[in-house]
Amino acid sequence: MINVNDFGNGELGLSHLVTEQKVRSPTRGDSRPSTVAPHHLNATSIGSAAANRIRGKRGVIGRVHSIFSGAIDVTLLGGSMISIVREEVGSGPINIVTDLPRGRSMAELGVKKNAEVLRKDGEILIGGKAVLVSMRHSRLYRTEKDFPTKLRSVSEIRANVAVVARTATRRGHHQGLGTLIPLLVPSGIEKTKRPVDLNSFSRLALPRVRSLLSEIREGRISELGTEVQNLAGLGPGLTPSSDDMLSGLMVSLALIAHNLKGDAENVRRVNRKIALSARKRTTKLSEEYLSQAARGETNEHFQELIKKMLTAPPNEAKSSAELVLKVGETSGTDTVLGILLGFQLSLDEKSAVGVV
Amino acid sequence: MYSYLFKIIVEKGNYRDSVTLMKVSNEVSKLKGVSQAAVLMATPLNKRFITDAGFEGSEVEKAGPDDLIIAIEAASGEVLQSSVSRVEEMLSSRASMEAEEIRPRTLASAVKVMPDANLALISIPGRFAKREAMNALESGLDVFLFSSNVSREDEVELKEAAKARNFLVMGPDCGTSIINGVVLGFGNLVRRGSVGIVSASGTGIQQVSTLLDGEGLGISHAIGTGGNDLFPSHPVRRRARRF
Repeated sequence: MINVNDFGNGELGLSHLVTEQKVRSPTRGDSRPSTVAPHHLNATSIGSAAANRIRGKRGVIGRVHSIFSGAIDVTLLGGSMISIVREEVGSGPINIVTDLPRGRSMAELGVKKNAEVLRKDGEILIGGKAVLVSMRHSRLYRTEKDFPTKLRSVSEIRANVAVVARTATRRGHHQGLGTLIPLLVPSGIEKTKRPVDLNSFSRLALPRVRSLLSEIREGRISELGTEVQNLAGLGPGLTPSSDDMLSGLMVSLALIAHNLKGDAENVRRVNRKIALSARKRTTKLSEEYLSQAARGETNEHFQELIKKMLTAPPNEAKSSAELVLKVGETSGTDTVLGILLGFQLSLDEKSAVGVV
Repeated sequence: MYSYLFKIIVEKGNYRDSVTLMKVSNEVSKLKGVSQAAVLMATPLNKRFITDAGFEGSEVEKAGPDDLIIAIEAASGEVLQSSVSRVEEMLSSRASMEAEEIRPRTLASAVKVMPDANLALISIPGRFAKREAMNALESGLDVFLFSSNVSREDEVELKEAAKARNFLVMGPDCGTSIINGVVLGFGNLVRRGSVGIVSASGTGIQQVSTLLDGEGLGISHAIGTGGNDLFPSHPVRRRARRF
């Protein structure tokens, strides 16, 4: 799609082709900021971990760690992190979701790396006064763990797993570990679709993932450390592909055990071991996500996918998967791989974390 | 027999997403004279990954998980230097900052991502074109319909729908237009000015607009109509009359 006004307005009619830049609706009357900043954003939701971390803090609370189009990541004074994100990224445990208009990038707001982040009343100021985030009307986000809708039968859940695996194989981004899905999660598609060549990270990860799954399945929790250390931090970016996979695995194990009356304590031990073993082996931000995932805390899109796989018919699980696959290019697909592996382990009758 | 040189650069606290780093690695690996390249965060496993590939040095050992490693092996010092420059150029470009920008897969999601867009360029097989063009009109967009093999009935239906909404459907089978100076399809980049063109011929628009440009005149809009004969009452012809 194109905006054909970039070169000025037409003079000979076609006036309908000219639309003015959309102006944001005025904010609520009582949300007037106490500070004037070039970019004023309103937070719409704040994750429970983020809320705990900034509660009661005043003055300088941290510094800008990294800037992406969808997020400004902040390292707080104690070393923990929060992320100030666009709406499309979604609510998450450490996310403060803002109303930055769609199509706008966080990287355009003039914030520099290492800039100070201040807390003042109900506001966060980033980079001196470059960006003001008002939190007066934000809602608190907690990962929904109890799914009130009636759960599907085990065979129906297995059918949902197969649908999501097929969808991820067909429509996922496979530059990360996505190519492992048909190799690790049988869904029927592996019999008809020509296998994609594994990239160098997937080749390295495949035997290690198999080994990790085997240890979890057989309940050898004390031996998980080596397997996790062989995976954590594998992949090029700030949240490496293997870590996304591990996050998906832990969250799905936790939410399935919670809702299907599995051995939640055993799952907690598995997840704690994974998160602890990954420490110092990966980036700070990725450590944060792994630590939240170990507690069953995750982004709303991933939570929704797991909920749909447990409670909804295949078409709804598929739609939810399609949405998740768009998250952060490879991150969505890599996390879906982990979620699928969590379902596979949980639905395995002989697995130590099984629920059937 | 070639002897290869390698260079390792560690950038402290330079954070990038996976896709950006993969794109940079892939592009630099393809440069002439480069035998291998890796750009990644220096987690212990990634460090082992590049060490196994032959990149060894104290820089790698000292780097921490929140540092970025650039490792390149090339046939000459010159290629090595130019490859490093290319990596740094790519990493500092806005494009790499925007690498995780959402790429919509449907017209509806594209409208959400780009709310100030006002025109859709549709180039898909003709039998599917009507549905997408109608979606575009319903989303408040004018349409440049590049697709051919759209039935006459569908074309009339689209034009009537556009007329009712006061929008324009250029095409089907429309290959050339210039709207507000924005070149669509096979149009030429010419100066802006006071001359408007409406034409069923894309090559005609190209020829006339470039000749006018050569004479120092400019184009306000050049509207392609597609190649079908139009009845006098047809909305495109009536709209064209306004010019």
